[in-house]
Order: sequence, then C-alpha cells, then structure tokens
Amino acid sequence: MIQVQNLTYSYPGTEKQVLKDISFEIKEGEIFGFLGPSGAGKSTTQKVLNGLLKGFGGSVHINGTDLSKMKRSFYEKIGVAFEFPNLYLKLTALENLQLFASFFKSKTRDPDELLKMVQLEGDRDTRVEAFSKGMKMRLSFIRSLLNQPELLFLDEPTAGLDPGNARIMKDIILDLKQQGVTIFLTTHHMDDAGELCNRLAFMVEGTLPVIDSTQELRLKHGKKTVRLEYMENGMTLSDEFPIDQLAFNPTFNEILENQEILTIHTQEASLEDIFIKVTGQQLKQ
Amino acid sequence: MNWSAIPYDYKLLKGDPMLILSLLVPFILWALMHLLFPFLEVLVMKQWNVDISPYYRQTGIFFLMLIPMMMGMVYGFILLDERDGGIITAISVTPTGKFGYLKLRMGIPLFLSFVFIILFLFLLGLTGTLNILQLIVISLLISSQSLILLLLLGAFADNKVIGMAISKGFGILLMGPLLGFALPAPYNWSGAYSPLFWASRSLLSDSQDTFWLYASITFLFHLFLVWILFRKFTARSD
Repeated sequence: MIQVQNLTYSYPGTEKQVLKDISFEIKEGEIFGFLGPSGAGKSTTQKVLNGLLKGFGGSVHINGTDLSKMKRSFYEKIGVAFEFPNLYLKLTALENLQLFASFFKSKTRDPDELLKMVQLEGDRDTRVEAFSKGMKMRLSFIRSLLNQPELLFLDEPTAGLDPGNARIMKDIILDLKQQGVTIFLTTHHMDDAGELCNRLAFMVEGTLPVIDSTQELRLKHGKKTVRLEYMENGMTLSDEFPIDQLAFNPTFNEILENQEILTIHTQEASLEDIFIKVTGQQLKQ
Repeated sequence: MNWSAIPYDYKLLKGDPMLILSLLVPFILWALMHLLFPFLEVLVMKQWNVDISPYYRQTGIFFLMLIPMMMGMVYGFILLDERDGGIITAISVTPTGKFGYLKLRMGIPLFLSFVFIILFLFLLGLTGTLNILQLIVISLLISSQSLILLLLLGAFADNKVIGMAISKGFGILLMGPLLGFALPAPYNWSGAYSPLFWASRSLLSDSQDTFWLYASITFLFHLFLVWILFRKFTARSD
C-alpha cells in the first residue's frame, strides 16, 4: 500500500536532516508502527506521508501513485488523527464532526454512531472547550474515521488517555484492522506497539535501524526459556528451563509433579528491552 | 465552495464580542454619516462660517473604505484562531484542503463587504454619476481590500498579537485616499502607493474614461497583492 524509498527531509530554513534516507513498506491491511523516543522523526514521517510536508527527498508511493502527484481526492480515503487534538473549541462535539464531514464529497459516517463508539454520546452537545484532554483526543480520533478511511494515520493515539479509554481506542483500532483498514501508527508506548502492530520500525534520530514483525522481534531478542516459580518446603524458589525439548526435561517435570507451582512465564524480551538493546537508546524521553 | 460550512462561522463569531462588534462597524459608520454629518454641517457653519457640505462624498467614501478592512480583520482573526488550534492543518488533510478552506475564508468577507458597500453607496447617496455596472465593479474592487488584510494576516501573523499589529499597520493604506482628498495637486498623488487611493479616484470620477482607468489600476494593484499574499499563505506548512 505504501512504499517509501530513501526518504530524506529537512525543515525549511534548517540544515539538519530530520529523516535520513529511510526506506520501508506498509502492506495493505496491516498495522505498521513507528516506535521511538520523542523527536526521533516519527511525526515528521507521518506528515510527509499524509502530504502535509512537501519538499522531501526520495520517493513515496501510495497505492502505486507517486505522492507528489496525488490529487485532492486522495484524501477521500485517508484519515489522520494528530498527536494534539485540533478541534474547534467553540463548537460542540457534534458540530465539529458535522463541519468536518462537510469537507468530504464521499458519504460520511453517522456522527452519533462515532460518538457512541468512544462514549462521548452524552457530551455531543457540549462545547469542546469544556472537554478534558482525553475527551478531545477521543473526538479527534473519531473525526479521522468520518470518511471511512482505507488508510489511517494515527499519531500517539493513546497519549493522555486513562487506561479505560486507552482500551476503548485500542479495541477500535484492532477492529478497524479486522475490517481491512491499513494503519500507520506512531508511538513511544511500547505496550501499545506490541499489542497493536503487525510490524514495527524502530526510529532513532531519523533512521530506522530495525524493521520487523512484532513476533519476530520478540523471538529473536528474547531468551528461549521458561521461568518457573514454585514452593518447596515453605520456601519460594525459581528456575529457568530451555523451551527446546521442555516436555522431556526431567527436572522440569519433577517440579511440575511434586511442587506447588506459583507462576510459569516464557522469557520473551519486552519491546523496550529490545529497543534499548538494538538502538542503545531509552524509549521514554 | 463549501457552502454547508458557512453556518458554523456564525457559531465561531458568537463567542467573540470583539468580532461581533467589528461586524457592526458598517452600521455605525452609516449612522455617523447619516445622523452626525448634517448636524456637524450646521454646527461648523454656525461656529466658523465654513461649509463642509462639499466634503460629504469624500468623507462617505473614506468611511466606506473602512468596511472591507473590518471584514478582513474579523475573518483574519478567525483564521488566526484556526491556525492556533491546528484546524488549518486538520483541514489540509481533507479533500477540501487548504485551498478550499481559503476560498471559504475569502468568500465570506468579500461577499459581506460587497453587500455593505453597495448599501452604503445608495443609502448615503454617494453614487455620483456612476451607472449600475460601474457601481458593482467599484464595490467589488473595494471589497477585495478585505482579502488583502485577511491574506496578510494569514501569511505573516503567527499569532493574534502580531495580527493586531498588522491590522493597525494596514491603516497606512487608508491614508492613501486621505492624502488624495486633503492635499493640493500635485502633492495629492503622494497617496498613490495605496490601492484605495485609486479606488477613491475611480469613485469620484466624472468621466467614463477616468473611471475605467482608475478602476483598472485598482484591479491590477489588488490582483498583484492578492497573488503574492496567496502564494505566501499557501506556502506555509500549516
């Protein structure tokens, strides 16, 4: 769906390259995530891809068409939710959605249905200036779904949300993926990235040192062992066993049969561990 | 043009008393001219034995020039509000886009200025010897002054404080017709730097030829300014 080749970008009037020769591909129907610390270039990449930033180097093709030759109708099937909610504060939630719906020629979704999806139906007639940041984020998110996009850009979609609302958003994102929507997501939140993304790219200072499937990353960088915690003679003990041939490991089986098992965990690496290991940088900056 | 977005402008204006007040300016100006000028005429004649009635048209035309300025400022400040809130960026990623947005933002002040100016000309008897076609043309030309201020704010004002400074500085253009009215020839040509100078000359023309000559200069002047500012605005990354 998206092919990016040797993309470079510098903001006008600056020498410093924010994006340094990055290449990647996003397949149709997948959630592709950019994981990296703040200022790494994640949002800049999104802005280049959704046409907000012009004058980039390299090439970007979306559905086979060169981005620089894209017509305005391209946006009929694109949805963009920004990192900071940009809404009309003096208008109500419903009016914000109705006004933005008028910017599309294609049929748009019922605003009430969208408001219900993120539990804002009770606030539909409240001016947005009275909304909390989390409510604005949710409204901004559903605004990006008005035109039933085939390609969705989400910039830090769960930033500023409490765990309950973050869960609602993640469920909607996973549901959109089920419906075949291609999603490009940027985050510095490793749990979101791990839960939502099919494939991940690690971004560090405008480069992409790693692009791989989430599963592969965990397998490649994790220890292939199982950690067992158990009680023996009133004491809590733990042991690690290789996953390979685990069923035939006599010690493992002996503990399973004779001791009280407290926990069993495979020792996959967390995405944060992998990020630090591969890039030498911390995620939360 | 996205007409369905227009009703929302009213809601955006509703919350801002300063902007609403600015929209009332044409009525205030009309009241000043209609009620105050005749009163002043009598007063000045009584006190100083000076007849100011020959300046009625000039005064009216000067007041008329304030209308597009107010409209440009009102809608320019809505634009700055929208820029502050990141709204222009959000519209940029819809099919309407920045260009469509700007057409909407430009269309309303142009239309409102035009209606007010035409009304102003007729209600205050400022039409002179101009025919209806000439009145429509000159009203449109003066209305387009609103676009220049709107685009000036859009192109250069990063926030409302700078916006206010630009709006005040814009008053320099209003000096153009004043210099034209007040100074004797050839010094009155010192107002020629302002497109409004040419518009006022056009309005005060007695002959067909001079009307169209001055109207053409006003048109080219405005076209040049709108083109430059439009490019500057669309080149911004918001």
